[in-house]
Amino acid sequence: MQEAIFSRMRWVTVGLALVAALVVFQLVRIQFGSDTGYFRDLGAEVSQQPREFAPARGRIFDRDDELLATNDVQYEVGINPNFVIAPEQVTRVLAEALGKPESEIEAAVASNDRYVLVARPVTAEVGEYIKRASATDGINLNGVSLTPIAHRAYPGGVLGAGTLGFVGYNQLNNQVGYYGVEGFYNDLLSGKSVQGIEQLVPFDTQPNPVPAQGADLVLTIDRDIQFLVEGILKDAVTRYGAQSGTIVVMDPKTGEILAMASNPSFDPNNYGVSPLPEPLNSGVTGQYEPGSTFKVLTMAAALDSGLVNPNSPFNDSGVIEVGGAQIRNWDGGAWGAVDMTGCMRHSLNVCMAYLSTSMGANTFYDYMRSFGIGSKTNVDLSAESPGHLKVPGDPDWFDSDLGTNAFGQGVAVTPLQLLTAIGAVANDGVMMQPHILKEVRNGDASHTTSIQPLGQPITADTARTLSAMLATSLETGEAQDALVPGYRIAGKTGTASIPVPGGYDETQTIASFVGWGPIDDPKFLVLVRLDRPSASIWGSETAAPTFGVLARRLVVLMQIPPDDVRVQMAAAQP
Amino acid sequence: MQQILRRKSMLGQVREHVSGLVEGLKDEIDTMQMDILQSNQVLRAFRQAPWRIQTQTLAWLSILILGTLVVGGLYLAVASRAGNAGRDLQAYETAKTELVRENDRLRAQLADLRNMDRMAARALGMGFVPATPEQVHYIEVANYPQEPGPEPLPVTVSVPVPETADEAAAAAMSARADQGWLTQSLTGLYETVFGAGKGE
Repeated sequence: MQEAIFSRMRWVTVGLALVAALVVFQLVRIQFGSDTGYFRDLGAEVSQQPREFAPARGRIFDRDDELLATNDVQYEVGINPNFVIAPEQVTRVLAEALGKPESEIEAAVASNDRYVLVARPVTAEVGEYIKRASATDGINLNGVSLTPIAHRAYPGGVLGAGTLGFVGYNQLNNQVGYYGVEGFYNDLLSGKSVQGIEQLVPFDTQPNPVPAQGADLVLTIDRDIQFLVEGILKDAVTRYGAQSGTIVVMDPKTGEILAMASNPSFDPNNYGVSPLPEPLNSGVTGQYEPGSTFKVLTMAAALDSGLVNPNSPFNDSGVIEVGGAQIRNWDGGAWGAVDMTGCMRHSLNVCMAYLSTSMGANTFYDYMRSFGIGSKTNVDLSAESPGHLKVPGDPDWFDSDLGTNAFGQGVAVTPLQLLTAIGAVANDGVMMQPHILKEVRNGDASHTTSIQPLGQPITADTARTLSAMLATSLETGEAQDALVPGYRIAGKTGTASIPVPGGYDETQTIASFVGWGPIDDPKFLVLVRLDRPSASIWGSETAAPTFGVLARRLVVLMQIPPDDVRVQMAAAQP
Repeated sequence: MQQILRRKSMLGQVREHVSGLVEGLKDEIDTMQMDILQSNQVLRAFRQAPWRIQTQTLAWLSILILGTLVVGGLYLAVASRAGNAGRDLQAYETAKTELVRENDRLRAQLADLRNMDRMAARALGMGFVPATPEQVHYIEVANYPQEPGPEPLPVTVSVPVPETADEAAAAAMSARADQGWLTQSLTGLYETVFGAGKGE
């Protein structure tokens, strides 16, 4: 009996030893055999996963460090039906949090899929609500998946929306900036992602790689001025029944854009809710025939080339023929004997056509090119249009264009392009590079952009002379609503016909005004453009008063003392 | 002669005695060898006793198991600590991510509270109204620090008016080459921020 037991035990021992040997053999084979790679990959598949470590997108500030764009978090809510333990609780909590019918959540819980997307994106508040519910005793939300999503937040809502642009998601679900500053500086803002391996086994865990953070941008935009401009533009569009409008405010001495507003605008926090306005930022994209505001450049060229001076006489007969086309004044009348200041005061098309034809096409277009007409300003904003300037030799240029171009028809500019060109008149003949980036910050590194002259199309004398002419013509002309008591302002109205197939729209116009001040030490240069105003087609009755309202607030906001105070202060200084 | 014979006889006796002694010694040696042999056999038998071999084997196995246990224990302790450290690291990374998110959320909330619409509404609600230029009085304060003006222009470029369209185009190209301000600025900027010549 005892012998039999020992015999069986021996067999059991042999069996166990064989099994153990088999296990050891398999271990050795897996570790060192030909299938090592396969097993290593299999192990890696469950213990680690490739992951893109994306940096936080840089923030955007205004020139006074007020936050214009920052990062927030939103969530994707999903359900893993196989892991749901308390379906009723999951259904109730998610239905409450998401405001969805319980039947929809029940269907997701009962699904045979491994993962069911319930809502994306949901706000941080909703996400926090679900988190709190999950942490509450007696509530089991096992199976509910709450995945954070990087989200761009614009605390100002529509404030500066066209200039800032917005951030969307590409096909890889990465954030990408579109339009405006977000689009132009996307590379700087987004930083550099790092491809790394996330170890799921704690034993192998390594610190996450640190990607190069996105840089923070400080803009030249002044949030207070931007807010003021948007409010005034909105009022103007409503009051004058305009289809849309644009206002750009620039510092003529530096080219810094202080405010740029378009109406209608959009909310970059919810850019997908309604169709985006077209164009998104008409300040740089919306090219148009400027009309009489362009006469500033024509007169600048005529003065600078020595063709005329402010007192040069001109006898306006009310009509002039250029290249077979008869050009008439805006009112169809003849103004008789006037000087160059009078030509500007009464905005005489005939006078301007006379000046351009007297200069000759080469000189006139050379000046226009020097002013940057027909070329992009290369402002640091996305989607800039170059405008359009036809010149002799172009297939679409005709002799009559020399006459019509002189008063801003047959030539297309963007508001920023025209403002940059006229900035030369405000800034002693020097045209400044328009820009919106003031500073870049990234950790300890900081970079401040330098101001840059684009060129000097006219002399300082010409610029000062023309400024004085425009101030005088404004003070005695039809657009006195643009004036600010106590401050000498220069400016020019524009009422441009809108080209349509086969000619020009007979009933609607683009009303505009370009002005700057104080003319002895310009602090602001403003372009107001109202598209198709119904209350009045004239720039002097729509855009000029809008400029006046804005300028009266600007001098307070920018703390610009009246001319007499500044003169006293200057005199008191040693 | 007799002396010789006596001496011979004595020598014979001595020889016999010595022989006897040698024989006796031999016998004693043989006896001792036998004893030694017997002792060795006993010793070998002792050494080869099954209980002794089993005891030794058991001892070696015990040492081996003990060594394995010590090494395995150490390994487990180290692995456990590494696992705990890894788990802590994961927890810290998660906490860091959460804190960054929370920070972002609070920053956005703060910015929202400073929203211009909200601030303007509050100001109006408190009875403030936008000031007009006429309502602002400027007073001169001696030695009041002036705000720095804009940076002086790097170069005031004097652009001669071109005589021909070609010259104008060249001038325009030259002026546009100043878009280099942007390209150069951005390149320098990018290198400042992200480092020069670094690939993805």
